[in-house]
Amino acid sequence: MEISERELRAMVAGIDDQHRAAMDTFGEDSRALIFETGPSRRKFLAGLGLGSAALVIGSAAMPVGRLVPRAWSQTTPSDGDIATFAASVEYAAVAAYQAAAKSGKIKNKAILDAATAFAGQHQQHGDAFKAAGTNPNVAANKGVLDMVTPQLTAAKTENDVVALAYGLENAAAATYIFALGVLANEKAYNAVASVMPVEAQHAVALGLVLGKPLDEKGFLPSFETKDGALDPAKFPAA
Amino acid sequence: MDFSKDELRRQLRDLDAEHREVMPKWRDSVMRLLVDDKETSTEAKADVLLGGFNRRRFMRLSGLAAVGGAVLAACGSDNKKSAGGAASETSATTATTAAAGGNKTDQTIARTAASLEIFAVAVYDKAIMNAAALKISDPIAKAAVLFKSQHDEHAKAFNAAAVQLGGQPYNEPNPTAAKAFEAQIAALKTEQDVLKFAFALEQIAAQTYQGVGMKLSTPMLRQTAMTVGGVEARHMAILGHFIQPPMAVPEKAFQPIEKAVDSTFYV
Repeated sequence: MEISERELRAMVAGIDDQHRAAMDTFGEDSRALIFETGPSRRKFLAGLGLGSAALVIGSAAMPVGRLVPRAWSQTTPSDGDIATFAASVEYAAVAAYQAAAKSGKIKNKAILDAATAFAGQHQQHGDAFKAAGTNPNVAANKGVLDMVTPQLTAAKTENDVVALAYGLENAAAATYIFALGVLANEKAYNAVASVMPVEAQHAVALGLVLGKPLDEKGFLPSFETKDGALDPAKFPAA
Repeated sequence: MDFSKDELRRQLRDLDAEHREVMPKWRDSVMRLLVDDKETSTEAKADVLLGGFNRRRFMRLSGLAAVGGAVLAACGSDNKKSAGGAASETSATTATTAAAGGNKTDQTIARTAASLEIFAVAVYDKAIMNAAALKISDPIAKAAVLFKSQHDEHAKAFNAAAVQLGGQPYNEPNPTAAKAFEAQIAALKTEQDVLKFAFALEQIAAQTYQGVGMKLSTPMLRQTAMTVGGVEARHMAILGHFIQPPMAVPEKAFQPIEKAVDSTFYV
């Protein structure tokens, strides 16, 4: 080693100075990156992180951003708040499947059985999320029901109903992908991560009924996306 | 040499500790900006990261690169090339990569995921190449081609993540999986055999990405893993549809992780 102790100390000190100069603004810069340009926890609920994506369930497309309590956009929600929101979405799915089953528009017994099974699984998801959430009285998400119910009423064929459910399942899967990017708590992660693949499989089962080609966008993407995620800011949990 | 090695080690250790404390936050911020943020223009992103060569930004980038190099050297990293070259490099890429090298577990999981995906590619490739002998029908063959291409995309994504995290890519099929399933693969004789084996493979992958979640250091990485895990679950549902008799997928309301691979599969 052909450097002196003084040179070495100077090098180390120089590196340290550079490091500290970078770190002085690191917190500020990170906050800017996370809270001003990224899908932060706050933005998840404020609806800003979803940009101009549109929620498409059945034939209805609306700008995302009508699903959470307005107050959440003013505060940073907890994992429990997010779990409550997820519970409201699940209970809305239960209500939608039950209404579909009662509508008489599903004639095929296998599809009816699937709808009943899926409703039961959504009920379990809702109960699990409710247990992890902040509101033990959480109800079906009104924003989702307001969007789904008129379409269900207007549905003319079995396929129309299945298409509605297909959109709802894909929207739920996308919502949970989005949530996974902000949840920090292990319990919340485990709940959402174990539910998301199940909703994706519901979507596939319904897509197969609809005869979707494998390469259709949204049916079998290479990566799950947040496109079409339900925005809690626009679909507030009750 | 008359300087105190102990003192030098102490200083480097302090730098290393500070570095390791902030790097997960930095990595998360960069990934949010580059991967997740669709609103900010590319130019604006470039400005945030590169921002022209004003003093503050230059110091930030060169500082990170130099510190990264020092940490690698101090830690006796396996990555000799990076350790030796980092001190003289000041590019943004080097800065980001070196800065992101804080969590070995994240790197290992990303590499292992890539290796599992490459193993899946090899399995589907074998089925496609032997489609006639295995009497694989056209719709199944087309699905296999699509699934293979998607697993290839997953492998590339995980390897890109491994590199971004400061690790090395892994470009071979997972050796533990290859050995564990060698006999089963050799025994595949019919289309149904292939479908059932592929289903099991996708199930392992889907549960693995769910299972490693809390081992990963940031929500962003967990989200990334599950963007792939969800697709493997979709593969399962499609394969289950073709299996005779058709399998009920999903069978349970919550995906378990009992079939996830354990650390013996790590590469």
